[in-house]
Amino acid sequence: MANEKFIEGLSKFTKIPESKIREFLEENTLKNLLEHPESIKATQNQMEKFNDLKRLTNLYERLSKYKEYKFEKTEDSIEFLSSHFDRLSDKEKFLVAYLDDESKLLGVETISIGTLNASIVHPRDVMKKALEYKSKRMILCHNHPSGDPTPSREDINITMRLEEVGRLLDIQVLDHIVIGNGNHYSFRENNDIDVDYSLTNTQSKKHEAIYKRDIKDFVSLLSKVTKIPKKDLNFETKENEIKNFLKRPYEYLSDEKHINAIYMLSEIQAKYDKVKKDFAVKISSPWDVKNFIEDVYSDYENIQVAVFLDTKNQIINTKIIPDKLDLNDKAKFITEYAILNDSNSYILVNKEDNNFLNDISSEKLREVNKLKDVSNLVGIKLLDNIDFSESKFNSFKESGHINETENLDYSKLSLEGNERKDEIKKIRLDNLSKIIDNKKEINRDDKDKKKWVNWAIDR
Amino acid sequence: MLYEEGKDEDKTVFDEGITDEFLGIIESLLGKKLDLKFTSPTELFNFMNDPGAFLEDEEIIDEIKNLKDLISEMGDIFNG
Repeated sequence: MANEKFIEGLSKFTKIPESKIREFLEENTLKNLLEHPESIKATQNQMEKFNDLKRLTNLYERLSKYKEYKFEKTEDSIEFLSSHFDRLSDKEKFLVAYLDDESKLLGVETISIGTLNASIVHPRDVMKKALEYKSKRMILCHNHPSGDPTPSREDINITMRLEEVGRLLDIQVLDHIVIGNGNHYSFRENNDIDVDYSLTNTQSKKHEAIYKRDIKDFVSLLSKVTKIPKKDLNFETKENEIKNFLKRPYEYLSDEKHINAIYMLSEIQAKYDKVKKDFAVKISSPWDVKNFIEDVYSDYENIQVAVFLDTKNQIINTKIIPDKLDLNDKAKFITEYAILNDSNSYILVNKEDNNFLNDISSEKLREVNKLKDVSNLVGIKLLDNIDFSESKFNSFKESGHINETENLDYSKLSLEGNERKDEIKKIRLDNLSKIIDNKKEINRDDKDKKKWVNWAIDR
Repeated sequence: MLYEEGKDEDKTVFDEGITDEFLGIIESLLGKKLDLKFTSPTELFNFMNDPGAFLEDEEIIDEIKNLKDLISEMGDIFNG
């Protein structure tokens, strides 16, 4: 920024006359001016504005650093994250640093602020931000106002739960750091978490490809509906750019017809959202679900649909589940969608033609119960699985085939030394066995299962 | 058989201190209420880089762009 523009801006926001600033700069530098603004003999009001600008500059620098920080070792995490805590604070604060697959910082989010002894952390909130950032790794961090960083039972509980959910969604928990008074506890340093900062997440390429494909699909559809040539819709993979395009199409397009088409689309979307809100469908029984699916998907046969609900059992959204997904990917698909839509629960519905509807098989039962266990990890309930055709109807809930999910219990942990670590191992093993069974059903043979068990025992 | 409704969960409390302070200063410098609420520093950073994605008023958008240029320059001067 040239001096002239700088002076103009400074004068505009502080109300210090430009002539006064220029006069001062005849014998001083800009740095002198910023470090000793009192020398310019500004009024009290002008000085207040000047100090506001300085505070804004400091805050902005802090924000900017978020975009450059790379986490290569535990010390980096501690150095960066401990600066986010006020030592005198009497409240527990839980925050998460979201990283890409090279451990570069995407953003830091405060998930909750609690009381003197605890902060309430919902895995769904942590994972929602991770999915929004398209994060591949995360570092958890919270403070203990008591000054003692030794992790509590709840700390261990939430760490392990997030690790499990992270495994499902391909997001690694690199560390959980508890900040005390001038000291800290790192789960990774204490081998409670064993992930190498330098490892590249092998899933990232796959995900990048999926995002690129989604954007390609979006562009194709948009071009088809609006007749805007695809060459004018070049967004690469930047979601913010798409949002901006939809809001301010005139910045991207020159043809007025095309600009109006985008405005019309936005209007339709807004009206659709309103209608959806005004006429929210409430689900009270399996028959409500059947009727709803019959209405909405009347042209489809042999589909599996997930119906996502809010806490009042009103439908938030529905999604056809692609039929080629294996159980693990299906669980991931549903869980991601539920998290991003703030859904509290969901119902699986299979609309089938008569030839396909058989009695409930044990394989089907296992699949449904596994999906239920997995989504339960993030606090999302699978309420029911409904299979129906023209002449038949099965509700797992009605027939008692959906069991109440047992919450994974990490809280029975002793907190001292080796004993605690042994208990952690035991619980990990129990927990992993559940997930191993899940994987085995789909695509792993017994040999693989053995490997998984050995891996778990080693830890 | 009826489905049970879920319990309303406690709302997550975000630490809005830094974002509120930042926005408060901007509003004070512009002399205008912006009617915005940011729940994370990252959102605020995006806002400064691209105010047009958050606001309609071209005049305010330009003022925020100018403000961003000014504080970036001030940061450079302070640091070196």
